[in-house]
Amino acid sequence: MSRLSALPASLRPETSGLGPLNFRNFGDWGLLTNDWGRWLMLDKNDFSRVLSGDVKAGEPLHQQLAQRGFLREAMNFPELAASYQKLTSFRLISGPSLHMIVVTLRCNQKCLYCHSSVVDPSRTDTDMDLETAKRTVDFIFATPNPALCIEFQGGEPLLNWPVVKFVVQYAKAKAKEQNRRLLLALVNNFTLMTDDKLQFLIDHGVSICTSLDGPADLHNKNRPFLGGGEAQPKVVGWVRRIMDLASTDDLRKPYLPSALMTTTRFSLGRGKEIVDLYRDLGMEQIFLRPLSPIGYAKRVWHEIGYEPEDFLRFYAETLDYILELNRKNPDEIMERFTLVLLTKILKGEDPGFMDLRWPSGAVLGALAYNYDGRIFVSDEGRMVDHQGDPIFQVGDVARDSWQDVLDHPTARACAAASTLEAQPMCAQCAYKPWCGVEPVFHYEMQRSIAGRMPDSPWCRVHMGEFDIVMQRLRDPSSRAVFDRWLERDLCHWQENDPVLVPGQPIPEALR
Amino acid sequence: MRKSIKKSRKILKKNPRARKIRPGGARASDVCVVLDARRDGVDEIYSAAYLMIDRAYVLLEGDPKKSMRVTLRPRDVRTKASLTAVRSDFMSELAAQRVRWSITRNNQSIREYIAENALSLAAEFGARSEVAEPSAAAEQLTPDQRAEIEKLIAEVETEIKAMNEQKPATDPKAAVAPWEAGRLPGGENPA
Repeated sequence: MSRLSALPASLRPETSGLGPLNFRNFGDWGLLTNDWGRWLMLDKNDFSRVLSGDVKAGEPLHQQLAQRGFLREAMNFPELAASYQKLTSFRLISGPSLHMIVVTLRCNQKCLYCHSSVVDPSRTDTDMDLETAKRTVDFIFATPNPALCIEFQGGEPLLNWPVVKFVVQYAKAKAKEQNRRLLLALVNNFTLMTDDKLQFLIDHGVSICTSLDGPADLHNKNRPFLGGGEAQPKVVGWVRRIMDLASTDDLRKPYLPSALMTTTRFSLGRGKEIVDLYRDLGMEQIFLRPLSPIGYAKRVWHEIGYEPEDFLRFYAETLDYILELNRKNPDEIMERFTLVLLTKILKGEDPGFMDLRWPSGAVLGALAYNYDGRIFVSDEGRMVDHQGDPIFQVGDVARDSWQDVLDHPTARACAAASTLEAQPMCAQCAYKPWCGVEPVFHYEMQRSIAGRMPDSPWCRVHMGEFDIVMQRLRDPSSRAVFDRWLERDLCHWQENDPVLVPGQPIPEALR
Repeated sequence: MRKSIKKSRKILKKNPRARKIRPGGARASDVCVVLDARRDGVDEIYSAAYLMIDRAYVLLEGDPKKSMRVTLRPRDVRTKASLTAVRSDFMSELAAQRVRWSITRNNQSIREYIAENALSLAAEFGARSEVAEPSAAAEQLTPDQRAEIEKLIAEVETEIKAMNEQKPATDPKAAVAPWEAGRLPGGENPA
């Protein structure tokens, strides 16, 4: 079966009147899209008529096609250019907004899929020292983006708490001095959280994110604690506690904890239980994330991995459950990745999701800083280095400037390799306006930073997710839920200072 | 040369399927399609062939200005049905590629024009927005701010030193201990 979808055998194409477009044939209906993010769903008959040049002026369909820039004879150039600029605004911002600092490689958990290249808690030699921390912050503030987000990662960042504290305070002082917008986010497993630390984070406006894979048995299996013991109750306990604080207004909504779940083979078929746990905790969103076969996960893929189609089944089933809940109660939980796609498709805006843009977020959108000060195109690129391959290193805070990093051959190669116009299959894909590819993923999977999309698991998962969302957009009741999600998401940004959640999109207001 | 011929004969004896290898590497059990590059289009042929690589090994030969031969070898078990399916898939991809490339060629100048306009808009937008100038920053701190930062560094250094002195080197945060053992210091566990 064609990945890009084939055309009906009976079609007699006539393309001379068509504007630039890509199409996708779903059998009983078809999808047209163009570079500027305009799209149109058509029933089978109209789809064939459009591609056969049979739509006549004066027909309502002709008008619909013209309004969206699908007909050469009726193109509103200024309007289409404005749409294009809005959808791809990230390409025109100078410099990365997301800066991930790995303050230590140490961790007290041994997650089955962890690609963060963690080491034993005794390895204090993998802690970032103060000098490197200061240099890292100086480097970040020498990059030109007016809005910066510093995200603490690890390892478990709370194992190097003094450096976290220092970076928070030093970065805030610098942001004030330079009049830059600064967001701070901490990704942690909550096992080492204390009241004092929490208070510091709240006082300094650091948003908190954790990992929560689902019910205790599932979470504990995916994320075992070194030395035994159950990790999940600890996470749930802290999330509840912070949620309680929020309900008494001690904590502003932007700093509510958020959680990310990673789907392993053990999660498949348990979407409902996972969603119900998030609902029980009062979480506004859940992010159904597929497992990346990178690093440690690659080695144990035969135990915890699955085919893209398995994940897509899980995603579709779980999304349908969430949609059903939302039909009954409009304030129910939302699915984050769907929201990312909807922001692109329905609002024509880029939601700042680094994994789904082109050129990719590598260097242009994000940078990762190792504990020793070395700079990588992404956290995944840093992990590849940890396995002995420094291909994705683009600098060192001790010696390189932002210009050195931007000009680094690896930065250029990643940008070129992830440009969908230059990808033979992506250039013709109906999802090109909203999609993206990840050089590190494809280097790990296919030994090519450009990748081979016809048999790329990345492409199979993302194309499948787009298909699932598009199919649901055809259903009026699902569409109504999706529209409500976009309204709620917008309200969220308007009611509060924009917030950045680790691993999740950067709000447009911050870019 | 003689050695190489002897070796080939040995291979043929051991593997009868190898007898079917034809000039150009194709086997009788492969699908071969010969196309007129001028009529079918080189871009179209390359693109259709590329889209087949998830299902088949693909070999392209010939003169891109005249005639090209596409050899497809299914990745899975080769049966008559799978060979027919691969041929049919390729021809279907080729038909879709003719449409896709036709649209692309007709509209290249329009896409370029709109991209140029979008860039102009962005330049206008960029000129209006405040973009921070790269700065070495630390050198630009006021004396008061510098003093504050130095104080902060001193505090954190003291804290790190105290932390390292308190904890045993092998497990500085008692992190490997299970919570059930109750070995974490007071306040480390949530209520």
